[in-house]
Amino acid sequence: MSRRCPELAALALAAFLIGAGPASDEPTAPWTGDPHAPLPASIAGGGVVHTDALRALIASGAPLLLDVAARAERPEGLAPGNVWIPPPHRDITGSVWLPGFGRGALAAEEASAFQARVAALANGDHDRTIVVYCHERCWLSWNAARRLIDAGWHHVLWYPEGVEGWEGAGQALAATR
Amino acid sequence: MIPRRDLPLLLLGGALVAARPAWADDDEDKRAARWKEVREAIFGDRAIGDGTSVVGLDAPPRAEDAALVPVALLVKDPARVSGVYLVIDGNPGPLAAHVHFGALADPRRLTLRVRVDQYTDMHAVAETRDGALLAVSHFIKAAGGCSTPMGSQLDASLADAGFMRLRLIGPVAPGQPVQALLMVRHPNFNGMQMDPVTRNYTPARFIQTVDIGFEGQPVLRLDSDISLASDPAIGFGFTPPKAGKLTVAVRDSSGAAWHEAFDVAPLS
Repeated sequence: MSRRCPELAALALAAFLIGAGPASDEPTAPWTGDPHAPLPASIAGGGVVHTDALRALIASGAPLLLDVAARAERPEGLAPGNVWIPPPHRDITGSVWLPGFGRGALAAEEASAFQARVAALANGDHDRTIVVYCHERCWLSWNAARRLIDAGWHHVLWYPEGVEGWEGAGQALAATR
Repeated sequence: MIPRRDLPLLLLGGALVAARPAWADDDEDKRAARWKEVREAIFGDRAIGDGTSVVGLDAPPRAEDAALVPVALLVKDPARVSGVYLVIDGNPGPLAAHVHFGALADPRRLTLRVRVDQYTDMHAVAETRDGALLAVSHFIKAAGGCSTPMGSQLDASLADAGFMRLRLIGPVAPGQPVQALLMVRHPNFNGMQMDPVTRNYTPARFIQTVDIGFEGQPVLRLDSDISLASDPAIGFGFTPPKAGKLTVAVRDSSGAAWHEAFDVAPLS
């Protein structure tokens, strides 16, 4: 069945290693401030992956791609006659969209639902490479990655450039459900 | 962990798979399809012509802060134009503003600060007095879709909502156009911002209309929604025929309304 070349796993690890920089002033827990704000350069216990390495990782292996970007909800009180037509949500091909799990604070049941979803997607394999992202300048992905690392997932990569970085580098995005 | 000596090889591997075609044409098609969808939702089947000679749209190519993107709507042929729409194609509520110019408006330059969710085309659509629609577009790189931005600081308290200031830019003379900047305190909550204390989402509450008049004559009316940035700052031009009061009425989605009057007097 699936032939696992050692290079592929090594490539994933390389991305992991390259990203593991010196300790910075990153928080130790999910960020509860404005989620749309400058980001730290690192995530303790996990790796940071940038566009080229992510591209290589996707081409060579099969990381679990988790998009935790928020979903736009129709605001109450929109004037009659105004339009509400959210564009199709787009993310990196093959991703699973899990909106909401990167918020600064999660209720206990949301936190366990997140872990359960990821466990199901990874078939319980805690060594599975998981890439978490959302948008550029967006803490939601950092928060979700933080939660996975803390819950004992061993190969969590954070992709801070998000869909804008991916698309900006000439890579395709696909519409998700 | 893998041995350090393997890294160069691995990096090379990364470089080899990196070469992929660009998707520019594809993106352009997608943006055109989105504009068609948005245009039909807002304007139905009305034709929209090229507005280059009538209307302009000034905005940065890349936003420093997606929660606070400065936009200028320029009317090059004021006598022909009765109103302007600002459409941000990629926002879930793409009709960011609709400005109706009144008798005393100087429509040549109107400025706003808006929220932009993603890399998108924006359109300024002018409506002429004979009912034609004419548009220009501008592509902007901005990404606020993260949580949908709330503004640079969380001065989001509603306590002083509706507080207004007016600044006149340049001298006032009867019958001469003057530029003004109206600043309104209002968080313009879009329903996606989180309260830092309770950690709950703050319900949407945003400005729906701003009506500006001078001594009973209309200057302009702005219809807007959550695309307007927190603490709106609206720059506009008007022509006071004499000394008098500029009146402003602001109404938000909760039904709250605020009224203010500002003295506009020529320098003697």
